[in-house]
Amino acid sequence: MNIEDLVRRSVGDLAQGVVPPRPDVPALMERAGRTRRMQIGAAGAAAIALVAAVAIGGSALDDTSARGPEPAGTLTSSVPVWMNARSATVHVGDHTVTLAGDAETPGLTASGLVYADGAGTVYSQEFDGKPVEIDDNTVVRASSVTRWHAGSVD
Amino acid sequence: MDDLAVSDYTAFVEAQWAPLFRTAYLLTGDYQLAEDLLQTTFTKIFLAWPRISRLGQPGAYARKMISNQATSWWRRRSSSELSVSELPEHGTAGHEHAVTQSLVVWEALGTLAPRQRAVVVLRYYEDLSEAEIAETLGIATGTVKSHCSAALARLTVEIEKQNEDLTLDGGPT
Repeated sequence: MNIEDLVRRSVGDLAQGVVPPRPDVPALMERAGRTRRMQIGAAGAAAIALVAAVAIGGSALDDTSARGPEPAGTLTSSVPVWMNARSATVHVGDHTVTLAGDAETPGLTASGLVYADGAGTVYSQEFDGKPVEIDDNTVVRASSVTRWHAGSVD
Repeated sequence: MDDLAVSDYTAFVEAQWAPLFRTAYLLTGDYQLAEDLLQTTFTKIFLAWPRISRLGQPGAYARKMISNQATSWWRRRSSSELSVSELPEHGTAGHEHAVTQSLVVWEALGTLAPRQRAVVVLRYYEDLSEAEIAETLGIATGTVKSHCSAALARLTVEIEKQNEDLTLDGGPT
């Protein structure tokens, strides 16, 4: 058997041996709703490179109708973050922020927007719209599905 | 989003979830990551469903998102990933041999660069053409060809190496 046939048969066998979980459509839609509420969409805010578990794509940021409160300074950069139960490091301008999921809650999801203002302060934001100020190297723990919590310094 | 759009979206997810999960599993090599990848992808799609559904072929759009996101994730985790030197089971001749060969190929897939792995999965599991793979990954057709060629060369070496190890261990040849 040549290599192409072997690979074709093997990946087919491997894929068929996997039993996918059932999709939870209501949960997907609810998660999408949380994301939409987190969209700040500040004018001029430029989403920059995200090294994280998952970055919310530009299409997800189209809706600017649900803005949360903004920091006093001018937004200079922002990073949308959608994380699961894994840690992630995001770079916001010159800042590096570590985000951590709750390892005891596999599958936990949380989302938020990490951004920096003109004064160089890095912020995250709770889902209910209350801004949480965090410092560089702060570990932000997603300890519930619906809120960010500022955690201990890493 | 109106009820009709939600209904369309629901039907889309239910139809595409299982096949795309299998693709995601092959791309990531991890069941949990594959599930995370699908949840994220389908959530993003929901947010832009009116636009995506109007464009047509939302399945292809989803596959594109999954392929590219998996490549990104793979880069992040590959530095901390430990390869396993020994397969969990060594089968005997017959059906078990095919199973063992699949596991050998699985291990070999893990040695590929992210783009190479994506090309292999899209080519040999999804049965996409080189042009379709190029469109999905956003790269040139020539790049697809070179990735595929390099991937097959690497897989050949890795598979031969693992089969030699199996032979030395008394497994099937």
